[in-house]
Amino acid sequence: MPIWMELLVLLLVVYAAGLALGWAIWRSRPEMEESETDG
Amino acid sequence: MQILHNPRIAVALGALAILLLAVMAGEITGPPIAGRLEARAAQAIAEVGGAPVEAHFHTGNDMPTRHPLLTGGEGLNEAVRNRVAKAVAAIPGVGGVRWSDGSALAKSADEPVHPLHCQEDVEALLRTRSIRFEEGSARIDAPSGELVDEVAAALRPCLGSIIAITGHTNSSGPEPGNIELSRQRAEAVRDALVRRGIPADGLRPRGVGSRFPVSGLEPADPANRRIEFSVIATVPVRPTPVDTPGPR
Repeated sequence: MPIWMELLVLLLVVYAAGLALGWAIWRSRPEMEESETDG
Repeated sequence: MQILHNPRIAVALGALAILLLAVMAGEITGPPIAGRLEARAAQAIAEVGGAPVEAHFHTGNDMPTRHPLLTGGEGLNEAVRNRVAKAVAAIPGVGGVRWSDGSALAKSADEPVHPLHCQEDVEALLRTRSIRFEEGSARIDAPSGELVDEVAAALRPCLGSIIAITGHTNSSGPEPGNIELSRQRAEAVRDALVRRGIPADGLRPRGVGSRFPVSGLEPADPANRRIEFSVIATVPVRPTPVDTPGPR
């Protein structure tokens, strides 16, 4: 496997892990209340 | 930038950016990495005496890789090839080592096993000497112990083959008794060989009495009392995983 392909696999794995982590954090945020804006 | 609000498109663009990053990084860092690995591999090969072997850190498409292809090892024996492959694989950063001749067999450092050669060796031993037994008994004479040691040593390379041990007698006495005695003597020789480390499952003792005298001798001639060995089947010995050679 050429070096660039190994780098690609490594970076894609890190990217996917980052996406998964980001999605997990986003999902765990508390729901925004609709009435939070100043009237 | 509205397009980036669509998560699918954003993820896809991110993956594309990763691809471009990997290609660029590979172009910039690949050749120096391959060059350094080639230099270290050449040094490692020289240190283990694998002189004609070269390590190529490029793929078939001429792209740099950390998985070397070793060439020039066709004329080397198995032991040297293993040393070279292990020396190159031990370099930090090197991946999988392959030989250009793939599955081509190298000449082994040891002599190849020829099972029928064992039969010739044993026949040569028994041509001028014979395994003697006490009169009318299946007990091997004490002085014949050394001859049995030599026969065991000659049979050892045949491990894995089926070896027939045939007991013969001369024609004196009733034939059923001769057959039984010759069988017991063949079994005594089998047991003696097993005690000397020859596996029992490769040995087939049998007695044929006086049915097959030595050609040119009268059936009553005492010289017909003998033990003969023959290889009746050759079974290749399968290597255990521990015996499997290094990377090929």
